[in-house]
Amino acid sequence: MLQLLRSRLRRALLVILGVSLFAFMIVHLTGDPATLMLPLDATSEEVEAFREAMGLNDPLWQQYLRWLGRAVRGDFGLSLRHQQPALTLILERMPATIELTLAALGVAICTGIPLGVWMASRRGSWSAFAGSIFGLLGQAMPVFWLALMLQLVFGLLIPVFPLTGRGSFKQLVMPAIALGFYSTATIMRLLQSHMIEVLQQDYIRTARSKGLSRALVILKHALRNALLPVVTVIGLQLGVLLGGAVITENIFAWPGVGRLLVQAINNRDIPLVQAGVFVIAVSIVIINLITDLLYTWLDPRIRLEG
Amino acid sequence: MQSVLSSKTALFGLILLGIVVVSALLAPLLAPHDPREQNLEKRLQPPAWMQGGSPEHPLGTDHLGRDILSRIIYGARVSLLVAVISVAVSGTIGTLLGLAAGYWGGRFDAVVTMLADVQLAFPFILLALAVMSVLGTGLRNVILVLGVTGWVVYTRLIRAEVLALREKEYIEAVRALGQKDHKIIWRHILPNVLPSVIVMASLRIANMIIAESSLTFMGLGVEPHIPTWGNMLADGREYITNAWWLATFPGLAIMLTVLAINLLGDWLRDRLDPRLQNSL
Repeated sequence: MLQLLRSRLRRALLVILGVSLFAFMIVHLTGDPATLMLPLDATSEEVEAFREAMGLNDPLWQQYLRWLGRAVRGDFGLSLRHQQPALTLILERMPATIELTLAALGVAICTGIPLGVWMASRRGSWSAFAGSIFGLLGQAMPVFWLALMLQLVFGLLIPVFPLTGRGSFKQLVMPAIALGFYSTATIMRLLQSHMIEVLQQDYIRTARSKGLSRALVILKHALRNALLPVVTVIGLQLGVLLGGAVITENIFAWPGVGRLLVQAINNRDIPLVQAGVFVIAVSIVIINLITDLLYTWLDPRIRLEG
Repeated sequence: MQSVLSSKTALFGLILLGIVVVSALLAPLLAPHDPREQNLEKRLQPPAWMQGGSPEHPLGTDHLGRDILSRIIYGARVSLLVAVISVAVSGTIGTLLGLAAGYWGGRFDAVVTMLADVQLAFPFILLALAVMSVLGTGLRNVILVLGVTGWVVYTRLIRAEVLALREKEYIEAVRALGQKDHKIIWRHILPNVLPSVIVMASLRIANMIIAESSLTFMGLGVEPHIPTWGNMLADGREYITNAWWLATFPGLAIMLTVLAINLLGDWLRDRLDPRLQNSL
């Protein structure tokens, strides 16, 4: 187990290094970061002075090492627009994004798992059929459209929830549902298919023939085993949700990292974009690492071998 | 019983997708109006069945008086075009990398796996937004970004399959006969992984439609003057308080198209490659 932990950690570090290289390279995609960061009407002298000041005339690998050296110490430079350290700006917005993402994950788990179990245990019934339509639609609906429709129905037609903003529980409801809905459908469909598989196993028949109740067999014997692959998917969904938060935050004016990042992208505030992209990617690497280890720990077959 | 039910849903998907494809191909014949024709006198006209609506504009008009139905019909062109080309590009890159990484293994495999891990650390939409902001918006760049960043799922899938195939006796046999590597891959391995590629590609078309419309909706995708579902929704968002139809119908078009593709993709998967059932 310790060896496994060590190899996974080493791998995660390598990925983070790769992530840093990409975050650095974003600005160099078009060739000249100076023209990207300066206003369009900058004179060629201004451009040259800017390049000199930012060290853009040095070889690329030197620039990268210098950038990485600073990034390791948390210095991504000043945001061009806010004139404050980019990392500080991102970290200030992080709690809002974490709140939204976890709320969405909560929605997905609390609805996806019961629905998945229900549909597997009522296979062939009308309610299971309705559930599968719900799942198919959930996976076909773009996050931003669902967000708009929620605003339309529950914000304007039947004004139960505020349209935008953050602060109260009511303001969290619509963004969390909009963001979590796709994951609800994913968890539900996955759990359903695993449950159906597990329910056909011999040990389930044994448990039933022992005289155990149907509910007990489903919840205790079947769900436990079918839930295992779902754990991995839940970890992956967190990454999906963090990405989806970028769009959801913009629609609901939720003051998180995603909203800040899109503003930064529109303003071509490169240090802020780099810091935001880096922080989000590193969060996802860490989430994946934890999911991976959790899965290993939960599955005795792997735990005992490894 | 199960197969009848599943083919029923597949048939439904096929009909739905058929409508979308035909609309895209025959847009100039089917659309009642020019999708760009503005008429400010008729702006924000509701759908025909509502008070103030007219049969001339069945789904109403937008803030510039353009016909919504015609714009949705033309929008299908862009969505399908972007999705099909970007899937073709990413599928080809991803499959080639997966074949090579799985077959030869070693350092190349390590590099490819590493690259895949790095890319998976970025939420797709964030990566696309960041790259689009640097490259600039536009139809061509959307296809480029979606095509180049979409390879990972194919590579992972194909690599795993090739790793298993490589150990099969018949592959060892052709290798023992002195067959060259690229011929083994081309003649004996590719045909075996092709069903998985097709299934994955079909399902990915749906993802790409959503990705393109999301990028465009965020203002970093297809140019605003081209009628697309994403652009229509971006306009609709501005008028959501007084004209619900602007934001509703293009979204329905996306949802139904994606649904149709997913239904067909699921059916294809069950037919071609039942093993994939739980992994996709």
